[in-house]
Amino acid sequence: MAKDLGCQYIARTERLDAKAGNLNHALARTHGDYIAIFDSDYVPQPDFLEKTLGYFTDAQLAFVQTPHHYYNVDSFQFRMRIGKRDKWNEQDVFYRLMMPGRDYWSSAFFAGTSAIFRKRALVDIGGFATQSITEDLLTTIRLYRRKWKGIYHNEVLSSGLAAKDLKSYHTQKQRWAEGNISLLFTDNPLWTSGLSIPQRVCFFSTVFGWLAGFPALIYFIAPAVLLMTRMFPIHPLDWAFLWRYVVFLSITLIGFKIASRGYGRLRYDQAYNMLNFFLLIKAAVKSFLRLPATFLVTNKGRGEAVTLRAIMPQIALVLLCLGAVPWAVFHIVYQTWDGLDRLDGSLGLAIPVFWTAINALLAISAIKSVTAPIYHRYTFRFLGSVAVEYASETATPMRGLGISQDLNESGLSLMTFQPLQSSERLILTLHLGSRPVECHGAIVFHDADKSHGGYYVYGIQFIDIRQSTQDLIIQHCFESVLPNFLRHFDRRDTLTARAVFWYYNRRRIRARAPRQTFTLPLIVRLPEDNLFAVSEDVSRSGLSLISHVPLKAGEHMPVEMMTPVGRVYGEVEIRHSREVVAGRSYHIGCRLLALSRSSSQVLVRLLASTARSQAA
Amino acid sequence: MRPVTLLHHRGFLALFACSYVVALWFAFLWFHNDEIAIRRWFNGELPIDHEQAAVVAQHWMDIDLTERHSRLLGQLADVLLRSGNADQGIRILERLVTAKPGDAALRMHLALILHQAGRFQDAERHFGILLEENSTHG
Repeated sequence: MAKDLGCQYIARTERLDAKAGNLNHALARTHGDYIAIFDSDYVPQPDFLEKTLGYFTDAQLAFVQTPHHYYNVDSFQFRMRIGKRDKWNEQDVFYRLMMPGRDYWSSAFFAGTSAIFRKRALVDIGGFATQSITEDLLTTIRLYRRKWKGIYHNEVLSSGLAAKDLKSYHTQKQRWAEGNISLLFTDNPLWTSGLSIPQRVCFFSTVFGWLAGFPALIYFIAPAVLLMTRMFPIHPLDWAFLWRYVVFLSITLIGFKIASRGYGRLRYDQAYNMLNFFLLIKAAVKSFLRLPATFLVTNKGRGEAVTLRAIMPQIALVLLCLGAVPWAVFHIVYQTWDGLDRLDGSLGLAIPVFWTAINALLAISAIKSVTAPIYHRYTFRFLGSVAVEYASETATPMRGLGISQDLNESGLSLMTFQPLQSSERLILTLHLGSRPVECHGAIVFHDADKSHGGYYVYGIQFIDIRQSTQDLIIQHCFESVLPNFLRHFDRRDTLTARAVFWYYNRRRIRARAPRQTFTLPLIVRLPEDNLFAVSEDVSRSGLSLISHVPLKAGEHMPVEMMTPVGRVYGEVEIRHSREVVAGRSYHIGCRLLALSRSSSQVLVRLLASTARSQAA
Repeated sequence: MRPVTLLHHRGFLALFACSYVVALWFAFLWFHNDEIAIRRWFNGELPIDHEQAAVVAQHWMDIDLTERHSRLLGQLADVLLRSGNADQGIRILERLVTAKPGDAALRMHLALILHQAGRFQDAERHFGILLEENSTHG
């Protein structure tokens, strides 16, 4: 494959120094000035080099790092709220907030993948550091010590696979933790020479952060232990303490909300702390005992079912917490809890019961997320829509225009506005931007849960699909479907921004016809050709759509939109054309003009339909 | 069936939860048996079991006294005195006074009990300490 693509594949027979060894091996056999580094599961966007190489006009710049991003949002590492267009991933706070912050202090670091290096800088420090299993951080420290610079470009320019099961996830976490903590003994950022004070603080905080397992353990078990032993660290527990405690807690929560700028979710973050605390303790102890660490590659395959042993610390915590609450109840019943009639006695009971219940819920939530049955497909389906023309292969002719709800090279979830026969074979035309591709598919599943209100959803598996067609689908998924998905799901408005927008827009919003999210197939009649597109939202006065070509503002063109309550024929005026991915995907805003009476009625019925959420 | 699948089995979880709470209940009763008994004797909810009371008193005489233990021992002494087991009750009060030598009310209580029991020399000693402390503190 490398030969076909005009590339050279360099492999080595020995495994000395793991990933750093591989990189150094290739470093000696390549001659380019710049080296882009991607893990094997990562797919860069076509404009990766275009957007990163420009920084190297600074002769002292050693590397540009971009965010890690995972596209398999069905991994347990994600929390998705499709209807609200909201996704959460544990690493978002780090890559979208903390790394830009570190960049401000010239302390951004190479994160193992999705980066580009100046080869001269690497040669200057003797190649990638091999003394640690987290070669990335150590290499960065050594570059900074030699007065090279690093930059963080805060835009997702590549995507990879998140670990699908707890074992792989913990393998990855443990490697990071052991590698980072071991830096305290090899190149301790506090006293290694050549770093600036902000760099020392930033790098030490990175290493120190991996010791979070110990305080987490205390937070998780302390309330339950208090309930069971009746030993309280705070005395007296009175109003003077209580109001200060409430103020402290409020500032912490509000501060987190403001500082995390929409990326942090306290509940999810804590659930992950719950999932990781024991592993972090294990890694810290191992590092402090200077036990040898091994570079274990993270498995990104199908995913393995979790074992009881892997979640034993969390199960133990659930048992402890759920045991402490009835224990407190027994104290009340048998009147063995002192001073329940006094403030300190009642607060002494209520506060630990509250936190014990919270910790129990966190532990249950963590266990639930990793023990859910693995139903993922082997290959992830990208969440996004393309217009799909379908025609039945059987004698009964049936054809129409639908859209995909998810898509990959082996199949799609097809939404239509007419029922299809189960196990029917279809001829499909996928409108992948400017490239309509034809293939055959069989209906393997009818999603009855999603099929109502005029919508019908079917699982389609491609049959005898050519490799070239599969390549086109994959290419379209990464180049267009994924960026569009990110445009909706990766956007975070801060609390302040939301408040400001709400204040200034409230009158305008009231005056405007409300836009409703509808993902519907439509055909725009361009002078030279038909444009098959997918709508994003619709109102009585306009709509927006995703197109593979930019449309000129002010132009008028006929449009035909398929809906579950009939077809809408009309003319639109293009109001704006905004780039999503240069040369591949554009968001087009249109004003509806000259609708026929019947089309207006269809539109009104569509907007009033209760099945709106189906299309969302 | 893999053991982890049991975590999603509602029947198993319900059964386990019930068993767990019952086990905890027994553990609680075993762990706090003395405490519950003293409280019940003190409130008159349970007739005094002299043998058990003596065992409890003996057991509690040897432990480091916390505030809660002191309160419970005080209640136990009261129970024993009411039940006619004055010697055991006095021993507990003496243990409490040793633990809290500055507690004048407790010492007075002990002195009066000793006086009632006819142990005048012991009572006199405690009255003397009280008078001495009273004169010292003005």
